[in-house]
Amino acid sequence: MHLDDITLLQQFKQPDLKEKAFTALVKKYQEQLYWHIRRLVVTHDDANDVLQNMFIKVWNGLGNFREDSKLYTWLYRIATNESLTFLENQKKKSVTSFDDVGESLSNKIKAESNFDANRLEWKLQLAIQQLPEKQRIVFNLRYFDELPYDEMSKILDTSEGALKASYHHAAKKIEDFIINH
Amino acid sequence: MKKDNNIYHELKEIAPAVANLSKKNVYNIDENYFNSFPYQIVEKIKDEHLMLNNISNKNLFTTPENYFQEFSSNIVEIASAQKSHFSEIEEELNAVAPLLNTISKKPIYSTPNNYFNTLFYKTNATQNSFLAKKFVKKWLPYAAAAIFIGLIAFSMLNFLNTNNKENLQHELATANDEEITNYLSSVHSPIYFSSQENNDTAGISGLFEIASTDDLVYYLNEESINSEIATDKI
Repeated sequence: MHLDDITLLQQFKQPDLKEKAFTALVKKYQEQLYWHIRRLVVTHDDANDVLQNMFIKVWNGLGNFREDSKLYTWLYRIATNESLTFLENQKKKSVTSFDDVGESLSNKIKAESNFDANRLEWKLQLAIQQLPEKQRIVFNLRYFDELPYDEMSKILDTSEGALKASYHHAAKKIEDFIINH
Repeated sequence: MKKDNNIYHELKEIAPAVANLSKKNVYNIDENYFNSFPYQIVEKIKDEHLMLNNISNKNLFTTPENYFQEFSSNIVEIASAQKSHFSEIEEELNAVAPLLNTISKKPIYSTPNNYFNTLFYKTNATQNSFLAKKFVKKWLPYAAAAIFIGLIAFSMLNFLNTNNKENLQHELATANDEEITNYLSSVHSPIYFSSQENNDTAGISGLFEIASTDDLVYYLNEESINSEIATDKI
């Protein structure tokens, strides 16, 4: 049974309960944040690095968190930014060009131990990696995490209309990819 | 977060092939990962804090001795030196023309675009031709004067030379034999014998002594004919 966000935040601000509250918060959100990150960076090691960095930032910033927004929205925002920063650093380190990042992520998917090119679920993952970065995030948040547009708008700092358009384009492209591959 | 059926219907309208796909997770993960992760991250945060706490705050850089003790006084000294320099100029101008102190010294003239950027190259190019012109300008009057003096000197020499020749010929033409004999026997023969005065005068005197009477008569006759011709010309 998870504690509600308000109780977690109150406990975190008390020095003797800080560590316990933080552990409870990690337990509550780790899985959905892990999968959000994993779908963006693909490999477990990279997802683990990003998740750790993300929670270290949460530890440092939670004391200043303004309770005018939902905690999970704030956590998703940090997770998304950390993932994008990680991918950006990968691009800088990589010898391949900016446009080849999607291909690099597809190769990582194909290198997964249980990869099966005939399974539609894997094709879906490959199709997602062909999308532009913003559409990829929008599709993942809507399709897998089933977030409402108003929450997505807060996470990504984008209007709901633009998010709907992005999701529409992304779904169409994915469908085309699955049909043609 | 509750499952939203609207999401499924939305996707079914956009891309039905995608809507009917299974959302089953395809990625592998260690089954104990989520059990251990919260404790791992707390340990990591503790370690990082511990590590940060153990880092000494001591500054590794050094400054010159008494740098900070003298810093403020040095700044004041420099500032007051600058101020006194400017106030000296202002005071001087106040005494002379106080109105000028109220006018901004900001330049009001404009320069062509990129003027100061290209100035160095332009200056270098024109400097060479300027030096050449300066050299010519400096030495031209001297050269002209030298040529002028040379011309005058040459003309004078030429004039004197012509005069001497004409005088000598005229004198020879009008001279009688006795005068010639006297002249030739004399030591001073400024024009023809000046350089061999000692040796040749004796030689010519000797010639008169050696010459026969017939030779002398023939010589004098020839000279009288010459003098007649010269007189006719005159």
